[in-house]
Amino acid sequence: MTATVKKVERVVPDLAMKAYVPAILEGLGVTTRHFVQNLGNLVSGRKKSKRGTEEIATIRYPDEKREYPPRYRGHHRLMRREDDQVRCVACFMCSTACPANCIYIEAGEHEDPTIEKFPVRFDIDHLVCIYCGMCEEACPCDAIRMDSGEHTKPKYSRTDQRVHLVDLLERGGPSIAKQGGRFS
Amino acid sequence: MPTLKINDQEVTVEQGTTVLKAAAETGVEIPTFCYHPGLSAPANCRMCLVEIDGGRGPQLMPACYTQAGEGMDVKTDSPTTKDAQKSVLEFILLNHPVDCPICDQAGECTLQDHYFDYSAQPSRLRHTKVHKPKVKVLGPNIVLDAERCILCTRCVRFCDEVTETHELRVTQRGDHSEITTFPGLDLDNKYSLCTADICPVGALTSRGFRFKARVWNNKRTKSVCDQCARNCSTFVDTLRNDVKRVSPRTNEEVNSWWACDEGRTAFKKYQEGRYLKGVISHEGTTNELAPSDSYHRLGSQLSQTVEAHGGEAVGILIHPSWSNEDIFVAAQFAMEAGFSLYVGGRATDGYEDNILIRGDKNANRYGMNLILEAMGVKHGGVDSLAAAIEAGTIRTLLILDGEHALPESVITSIGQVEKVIALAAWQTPILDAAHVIAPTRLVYERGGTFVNFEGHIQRFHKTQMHDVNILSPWHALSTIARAGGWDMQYDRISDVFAGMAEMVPRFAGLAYQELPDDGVTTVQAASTGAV
Repeated sequence: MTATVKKVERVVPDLAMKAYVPAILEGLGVTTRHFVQNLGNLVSGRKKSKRGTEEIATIRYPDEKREYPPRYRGHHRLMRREDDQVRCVACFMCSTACPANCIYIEAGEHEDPTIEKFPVRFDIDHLVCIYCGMCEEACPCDAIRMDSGEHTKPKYSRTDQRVHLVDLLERGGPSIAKQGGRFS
Repeated sequence: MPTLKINDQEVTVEQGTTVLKAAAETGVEIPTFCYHPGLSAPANCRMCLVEIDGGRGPQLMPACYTQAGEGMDVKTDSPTTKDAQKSVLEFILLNHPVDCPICDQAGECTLQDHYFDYSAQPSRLRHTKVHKPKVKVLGPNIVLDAERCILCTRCVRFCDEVTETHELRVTQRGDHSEITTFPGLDLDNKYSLCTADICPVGALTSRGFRFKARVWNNKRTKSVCDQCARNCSTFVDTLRNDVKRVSPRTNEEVNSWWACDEGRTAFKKYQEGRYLKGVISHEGTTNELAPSDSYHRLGSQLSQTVEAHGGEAVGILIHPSWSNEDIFVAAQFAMEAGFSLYVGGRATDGYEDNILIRGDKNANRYGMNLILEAMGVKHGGVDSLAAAIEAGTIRTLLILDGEHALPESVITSIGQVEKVIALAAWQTPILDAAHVIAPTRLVYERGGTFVNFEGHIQRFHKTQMHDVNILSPWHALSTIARAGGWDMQYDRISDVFAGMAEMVPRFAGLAYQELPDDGVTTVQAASTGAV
């Protein structure tokens, strides 16, 4: 790909710009116009313009919350099997794919030989995580997802930002994906 | 001496060489599963099928079994060969569970590698796969997953040909075939973990290493086993400063392809009771001490004793499992200061075989004897130490490494010694009597050289590090000597080795940095070197 270069004409300031005050008054004018318009729309309750665009750009946070788009990568969750056990088999694919190295897993021996391996520890450090979504991309079991639609909340300590298996499982729901490939 | 063509490249090989080895000589790799250089070749996996024209027209023959013949035309990349490889892999993978996410072999699996190199096609099977037992414990160290097994019978042949213990056998027929132990037998021989190494897939895996780490996360370092006088070449795999696994490194001069279970699991005993700080015990209370302070404490203790009672009042107990460098520095220190030198060491369990395991459980007795002889240091055994303690001539005893098998007479009389000081890496019962303990590195955390019972010198490398302030034994001894006012100027291990090579004729001409991975024989070095 070749880079395209666009030459921008240098603005030569005229006397009005050099005098400074007229430009400030112009800016204040824009702000005042928006303020009056918004105030009018708010009082009359009009939210959409005739063209369908939003008339008021802001929302009344925190009373009103903006919904995240469906593909938003938020707080991780660990999905569950039909019998509510963790789907994760501790294969370390997510922690291997993780570019930030924020996933710490310890594997354990499951008493059911058909499951065999499961995580006894699964920690994600949300201060280290860069929310790139590589972990859910790498997961062969549909075990880790980032589709909770929640951003990570601020906490009072660094250690609280390290979320553990229990917390991740609580957010997770059942997954209907077939575990272990297409054919048994 | 037949001359044959491999991919249109002529090569002349010894009579009796297999096509596989002839191809390897020309740099052509033929994929295999059941072939192992240390075992017989049954040619049952069919992965090494290549198109060979021996005069009767091209036909597919197993390269691991077919001997190279005059005028043979071998084609390893012809469409027929490639098709055969692809078909064999499809057949092998037919009932394979493909549970790589939970399989410990993933990452070092021959089936994975060959699949990506020679097949890379999806399964065409539309029926239920044959299911076999999973997580079947075969012995104290090995667990079997029969579904993953490709029936190469490497493990069966290992138990038949190498250990000659005959525990394993293939039972049933066709796709119901499975590896199992004979009724009433466990896969419990001294080399059972080797079956997990040679298993090309994840059918046999180590119980000790099971689910401990994924292999690609491990850091692999070349090392040498210090658990007996054989000095097997090993790989030490570490993860976050913890040894996870020790596996044999091919070295035909020393251990071929194998290593014993005992040596490979020995790292576990060092994980408990590590000394990461110096320890001072005084009238029942113990205090911790920074490592560097503890070395100074030992140095001043030694110089005090020498000033008050002379050098012979200090006994120094060295360990024949320490590296040449450690022993050399200890011996030089003892000579300079006039200490009495005693040799301790691990006790033998009386077992010895003609595969690998030696009765002498000390890694470097041969090297120690070479050094002590060349330097002309007077030394005694643990019995003369007992006599010296009994006679009261020893005022301060410096124990180097806590892993000594001491006779009852020493253990009971050790309390009579005024000061017992030690330089050790981990806690052992004999160190309970020590007043000051300075920490040192484990064999996995330091570099050095060992000489095995046949006079073969090998270098081992540093794998992990807990604290850089904890020094290797030779460095710690050098620091202790300096703290006590003696002249000991060793700061680099290559300098120690150079000093040693100057003094010990059998090491003449060797340089620490230039020692090859497989080591060299000191016996040869003596005959070829300047005498």
